[in-house]
Amino acid sequence: MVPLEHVLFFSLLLFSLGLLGALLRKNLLMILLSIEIMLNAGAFSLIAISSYLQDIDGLAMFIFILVVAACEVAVGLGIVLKYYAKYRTLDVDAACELKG
Amino acid sequence: MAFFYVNSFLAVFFTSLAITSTRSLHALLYFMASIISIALCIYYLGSPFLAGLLVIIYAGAIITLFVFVVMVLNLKRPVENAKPFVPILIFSIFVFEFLFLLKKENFGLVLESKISHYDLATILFTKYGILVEVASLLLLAALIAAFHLGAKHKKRV
Repeated sequence: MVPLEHVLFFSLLLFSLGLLGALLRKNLLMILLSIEIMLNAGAFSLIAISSYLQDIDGLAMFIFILVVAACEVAVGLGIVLKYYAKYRTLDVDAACELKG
Repeated sequence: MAFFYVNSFLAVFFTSLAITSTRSLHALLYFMASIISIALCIYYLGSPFLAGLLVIIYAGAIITLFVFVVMVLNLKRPVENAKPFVPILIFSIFVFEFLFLLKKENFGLVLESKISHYDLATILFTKYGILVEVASLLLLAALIAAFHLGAKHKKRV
């Protein structure tokens, strides 16, 4: 049996990789992908703790996280398409009209 | 036990490849490989149903949607020569792992949890029934939002 600390460390590593990608990348699509990575890491830690405690609530929550991820992607990709139609690029720095 | 460590290392490796890749399509495919590794980890932790769900929904639906959007956008990138080493490596590692899982003595080794699908379905529709309703409402909201974002609006004069 793998100790819980290792599983949680793996989940934390995945989450921080996603965070790094969301902070460093300039491509809107890659930022959305990094957010997906972070959601996935959180869901994985839910499953790990649920498996450790032999408790079923975490598994139910995992299904809801899948639903949330699907909704987020549907709306996010719609926004990406609109963004590309307006600016003809996926660079997030192109949308700088709101500066004061 | 080594199965989990190998898969977690693969997931971290593929995720770091995904966030550093300059081409969107490559990043998406690396993320898909990472999803499969995470699903194998979940399988090891004793939830084969959720591992299947992860592969079907994430790799099968969400990443496919991403790939579809990348192809619709038609981003102009220079065409390079394909480097087949990494894809062949990924493919052979996964084939090796699936063969490992298919061996009969490895079944008991992998499945350590004893939570049944029946319990999961029961708790989903009794204790979390209201949450299922809210999730369906969220899906409806996402559907309406996607339609609204995708529709062509006539310009008002």
